[in-house]
Amino acid sequence: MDGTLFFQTLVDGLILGGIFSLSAVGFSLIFGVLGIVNLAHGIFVLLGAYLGLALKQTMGIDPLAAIPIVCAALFVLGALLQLTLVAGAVRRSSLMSSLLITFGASLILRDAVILVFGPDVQFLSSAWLVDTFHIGDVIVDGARATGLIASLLLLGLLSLALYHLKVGRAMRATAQQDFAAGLCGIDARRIYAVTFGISAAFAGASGIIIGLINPFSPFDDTYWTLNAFVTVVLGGVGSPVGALLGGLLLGEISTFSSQYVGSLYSNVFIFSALLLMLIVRPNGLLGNAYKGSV
Amino acid sequence: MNGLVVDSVHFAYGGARALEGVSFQVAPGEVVALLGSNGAGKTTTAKVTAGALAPAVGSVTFEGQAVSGLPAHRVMRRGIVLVPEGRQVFAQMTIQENLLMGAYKERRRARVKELLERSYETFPRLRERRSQIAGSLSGGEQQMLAIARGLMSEPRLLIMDEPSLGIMPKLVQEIFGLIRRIAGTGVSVLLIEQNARASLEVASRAYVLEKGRIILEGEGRALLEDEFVQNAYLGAEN
Ligand SMILES: Nc1ncnc2c1ncn2[C@@H]1O[C@H](COP(=O)(O)OP(=O)(O)OP(=O)(O)O)[C@@H](O)[C@H]1O
Ligand SMILES: [Mg+2]
Repeated sequence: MDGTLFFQTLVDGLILGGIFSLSAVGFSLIFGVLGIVNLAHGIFVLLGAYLGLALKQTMGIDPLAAIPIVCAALFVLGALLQLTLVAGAVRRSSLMSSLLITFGASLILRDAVILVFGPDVQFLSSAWLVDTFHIGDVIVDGARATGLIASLLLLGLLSLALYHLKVGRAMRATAQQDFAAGLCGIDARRIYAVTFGISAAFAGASGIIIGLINPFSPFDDTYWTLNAFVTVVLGGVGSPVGALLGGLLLGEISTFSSQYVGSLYSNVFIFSALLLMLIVRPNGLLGNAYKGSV
Repeated sequence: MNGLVVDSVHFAYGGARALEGVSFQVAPGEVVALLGSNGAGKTTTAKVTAGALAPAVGSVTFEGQAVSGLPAHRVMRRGIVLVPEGRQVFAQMTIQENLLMGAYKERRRARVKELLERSYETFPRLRERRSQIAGSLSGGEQQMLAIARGLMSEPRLLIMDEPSLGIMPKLVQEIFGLIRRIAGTGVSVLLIEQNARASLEVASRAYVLEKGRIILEGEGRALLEDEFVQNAYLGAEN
């Protein structure tokens, strides 16, 4: 086996995995805290990319500098979506109705994107990105390296917030025992809205990074929802570290199977890994961060 | 009256009636026991009082203000704190984090520190194990933690729903001793218990709930001697 090719594949997988992790962490958070599968997650990711595009086109803001603005906007959007549409589904604690509602929301948002930006493929570019560079014989693209670093940084921040801020503690408490959390003075509705907001904000940040690396179109949302789902099954629910592990695993499986078997077959490997994980560790590598069911 | 006044509360789960006109009072600083067999409606009464359930009819008043209709997270800010049946600690969080959740409403950091210190003085075992996750504690220790978490909220009325359920006798004694001490600090206690003898000994007054109705009330000592109570709730022990 060619050593350089192996390392190149490894690095590519790492970078792809970092992006998967960041794009999936919000999905994981919502599943962990609210117990619902948010089918609108992929569209949150795309909205990040499109918002970055709009900010660049209308105000000339560099996409990397736009990340905080995009996060703030998506936080508001996510929280509003929860308070208006999803709250009803959660109150009835029906998985089916939450699936229908979030799927419906994703269709509406996708059509809104098409209406505003058209159905064509778009790109993001940043003047701040360094060119391609080499580590030994391995070629690293500047945008991709920046993406990986940003992913790790943001995941680290989220982890700090969850484990060291009062609101993070309240989120974890609500995830574990919503009734007791209420008795402690926590307004679960507010925590649910905040969770949705944070989830959408992180999805939006990942959307910018994805847009800098790959072209995107309004129809990619199902791809990102599916990836988030796979990442969570592989890594475990609710924690940024779980999302990181799951994402990296997914990234490596994708790149290695594409490189050594053929890109047509990477889904075969991904879903085999998924099946294997469901059989061996049904709650993923790290289990559920809130339920302790490993 | 200044303490808790529950006035002819009705509650039904869907169509199933659970409370049919429950009325009782807890005066400031008083320990009141609420007895009743399984399914009598004790937990439902506790939940309605703490705001976790809204009564269909009737009212809950605390310190002269109506609290019925408020959600639990607002009722607790009025001073009524429920230590729920089955403990419900946050199993994947550390003991210290569990305690901090009890002080969630408190914005002053210095006060949170004081409360934490007070908890650890009352429950030295929790201090030793403060960075372990709560799920690693024994059932009795989890009950202590649930009570400590409730006290972190600085209640003026503490409702305890079956604190001795499934706990070994030595710890049960400790819990009843603790209830005495809590009452000694001026906090009113509404004690829901299966252990009728021990609760009638700590309580100044008691109510007996059956099928959603209060069927008997009286002084704790007097009920201990009551023939009906002896047959129904103390029978096995006599
Ligand atoms: N969530 C619920 N849905 C439907 N019925 C309920 C629910 N919770 C309680 N009940 C019913 O309401 C009645 C009162 O229940 P409750 O839990 O208040 O009794 P309890 O006195 O606390 O009993 P225990 O000693 O077993 O804890 C029972 O008939 C019970 O079956
Ligand atoms: Mg009960």
